[in-house]
Amino acid sequence: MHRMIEAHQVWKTFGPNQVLRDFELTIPSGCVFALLGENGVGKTTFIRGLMGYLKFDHGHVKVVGLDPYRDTLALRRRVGYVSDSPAFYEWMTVAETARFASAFHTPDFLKNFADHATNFELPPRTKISALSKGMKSKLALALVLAADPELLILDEPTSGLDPVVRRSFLESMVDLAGTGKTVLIASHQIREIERVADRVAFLKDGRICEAGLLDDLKEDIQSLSFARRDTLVSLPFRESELQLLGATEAGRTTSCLVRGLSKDLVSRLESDANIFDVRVSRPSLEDLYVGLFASKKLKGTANGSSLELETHP
Amino acid sequence: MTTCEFLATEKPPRPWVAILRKDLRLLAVASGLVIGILLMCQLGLRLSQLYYFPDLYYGKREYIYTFWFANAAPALIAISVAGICAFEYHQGIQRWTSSLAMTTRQSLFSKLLGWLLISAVVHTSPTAIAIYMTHMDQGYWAWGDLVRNGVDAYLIGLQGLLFLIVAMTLLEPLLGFLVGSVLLLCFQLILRNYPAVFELANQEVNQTAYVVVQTLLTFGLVFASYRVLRWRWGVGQFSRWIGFYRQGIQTAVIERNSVSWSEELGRIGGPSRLPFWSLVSQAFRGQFGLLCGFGAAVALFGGFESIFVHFESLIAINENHPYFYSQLMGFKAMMGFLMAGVLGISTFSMDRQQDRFQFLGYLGAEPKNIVLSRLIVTALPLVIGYSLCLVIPVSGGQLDREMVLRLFTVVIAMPFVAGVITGLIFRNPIIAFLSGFLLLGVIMFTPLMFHELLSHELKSQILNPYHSLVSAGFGWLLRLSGIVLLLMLLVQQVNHLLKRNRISKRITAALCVVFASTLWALFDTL
Repeated sequence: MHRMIEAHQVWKTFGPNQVLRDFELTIPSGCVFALLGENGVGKTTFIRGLMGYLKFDHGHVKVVGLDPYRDTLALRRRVGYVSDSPAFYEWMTVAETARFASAFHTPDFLKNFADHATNFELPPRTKISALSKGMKSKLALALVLAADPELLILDEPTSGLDPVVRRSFLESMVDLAGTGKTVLIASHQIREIERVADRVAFLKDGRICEAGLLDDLKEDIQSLSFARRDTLVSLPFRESELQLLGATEAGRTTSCLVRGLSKDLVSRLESDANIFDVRVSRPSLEDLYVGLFASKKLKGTANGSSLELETHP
Repeated sequence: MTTCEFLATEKPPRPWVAILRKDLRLLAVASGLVIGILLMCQLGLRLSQLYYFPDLYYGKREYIYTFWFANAAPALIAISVAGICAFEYHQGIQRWTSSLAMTTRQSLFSKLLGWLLISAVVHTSPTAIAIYMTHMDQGYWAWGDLVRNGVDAYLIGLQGLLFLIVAMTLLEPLLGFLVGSVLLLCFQLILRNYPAVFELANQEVNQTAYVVVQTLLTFGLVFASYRVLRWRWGVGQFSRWIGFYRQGIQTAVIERNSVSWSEELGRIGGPSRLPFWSLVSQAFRGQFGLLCGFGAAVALFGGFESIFVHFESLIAINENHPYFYSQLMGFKAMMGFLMAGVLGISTFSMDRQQDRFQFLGYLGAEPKNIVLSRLIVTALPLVIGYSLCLVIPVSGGQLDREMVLRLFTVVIAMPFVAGVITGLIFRNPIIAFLSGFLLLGVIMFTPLMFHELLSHELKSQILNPYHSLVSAGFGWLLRLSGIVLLLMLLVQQVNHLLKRNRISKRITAALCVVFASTLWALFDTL
């Protein structure tokens, strides 16, 4: 499969803040790829680097086979980008903005734009300053879709959109991927993303902590929850018996995301007198997100130490 | 058509056409502002010169002013260009345009081209006309002056463009504006220190540079000081003050009885002088930023002025040249004129716009006390300015009291009164500003209308100075204010009609033009 984005050993620092550290990511063509992570974790920085708006301190990056910093113009002709806060000339109308943008694209641009704008119900004669935030997002999407790019990079594209338009838009991304285009979405709309993304990556502390096909991740990682009668009593397994990805503790109940959970370990948990209500389930994307980003460690394993959270896959 | 379907049949423009069209549209609006500023400068200059050099031939003076101020146009339009660059960069628009595959080179070249085109309209055309007129009249200027001064004006404009774009884009725009202006000043001083480098320098050219740099600095300092001081003291103090009273009032409302508001506030711990002195205090805090801004601008302006005077030998301005002092006085008059008008207008129309009268009324303040407190605060610096005019010798000689009184009346008191009246009437500061100058015109035209009723002695005392002032100074400003105001009101009204009666926009535009022409003709007749 052709690789649309390749990033190897990418580092980026802003003053004392190290935003990206040894960042590795590969995105194949023809997929909807979701880049997930908490606020300020470096998603937008990475995306801006992909578009050539900033230069990474170190690392090797290729987007559609081009160096984003050196082949900027060629790259921008092939890649569509919607920023988290799209800004246009406030004094232009919707139609004027489209005409202005059409000067830089193929002759079909205005025809495509007319279709998308009609779908999004954009008023052609209204000035941008009079548009709501949601309408501005729709305009940004209509403009980028009209250019028919090979790769679409969307940074929080659906913020401000109403649920109906958001769902319709995200589903259109699947259609787009079906035609061989690639879509990279950075978003917090986990539930919506789960419906459309076929690949995901979780960005944490400047690195990718989990990445892969969404279905594979769901198969590989399990959601385990149990309750303890006495939280001071040790758990019936050792630190080395599983890979803990994240855990949350609320009262006596512990919920965790684990990899390599064996049937033996589950039966040991079920037979332990101190433990009850043991549940193993296939996690949703939201479970994965919360589990990976909310917890730090699970206390009281059998060898007496805490089970530290794994940050590397 | 309510959908964008019609776009599907349109042909996309060429990239350069699209970029240039966009920049020219922005710059055309900005050039309107530049013309306004130039008219204001011209007004200040004329006002002072009429008092200092009344024997100068009127027509010749007209052409010289046009020449100087038109020369300032390229530098002032450079501010607009730098402003557009900074705006695009700081607002994130540049990220969008670059995602369209527009290059930085295209973007900058288009602005440079726009700057050249607009400058040609605002600078070269009036200069050429002025030269033609004077040449026909007395041969005062030669055609070679057009090229020589044009080169100088564009060079200064280009320097301004460079410094301002870099500074305003790298720094916060307002701070960048200030830094860029100071850099331009330093650069000009260096150039004039080495005449061999800048062989084009001559007396008139230097005066152009002087006008440009002073104008840039003055406006930069006013805006920057106002912004900084308002941020630092004005808004914060006002909010805290309001918070204090709001808390007191809430308590008072809960325990409401027949006791008056001031007694109530006194009982709950607030100052018992709320009705008047607290209002003065609040008005002072509310206007503190603006007052300090103007104060700082005037002080710094004076500082830079002294630099120019002390570096007289370097910058080759002849101290005895009559235009030099008239320029200094012109800028002072301009500052005073602006300050008085803006203070009067902003105080009252902003209070109205932010419903502060209503709120203060709710707090128990009487309307007359609210107005009086603001009058005291805003008129105080004007009275101080007047006192300074009386005691400080200007341009090597003491002004006589009658002259100062006339200057004070025309330059300070009248715009202030007009500003207060229109500020009280209109909520919108822009409409208040334009109406203020229109009202000013009416006030000054009134004696002319009834001049037949006045005695010969009174005519010689009143009509002559006023007539000169009105015809030479306020004519253009009045026309401009009147026409813009009328257009705004017309557009507003017709817009309202459009929704009901579906009158086409072309008819609206035609109506506006007819009304504007009528008004223009009316002013000309008067």
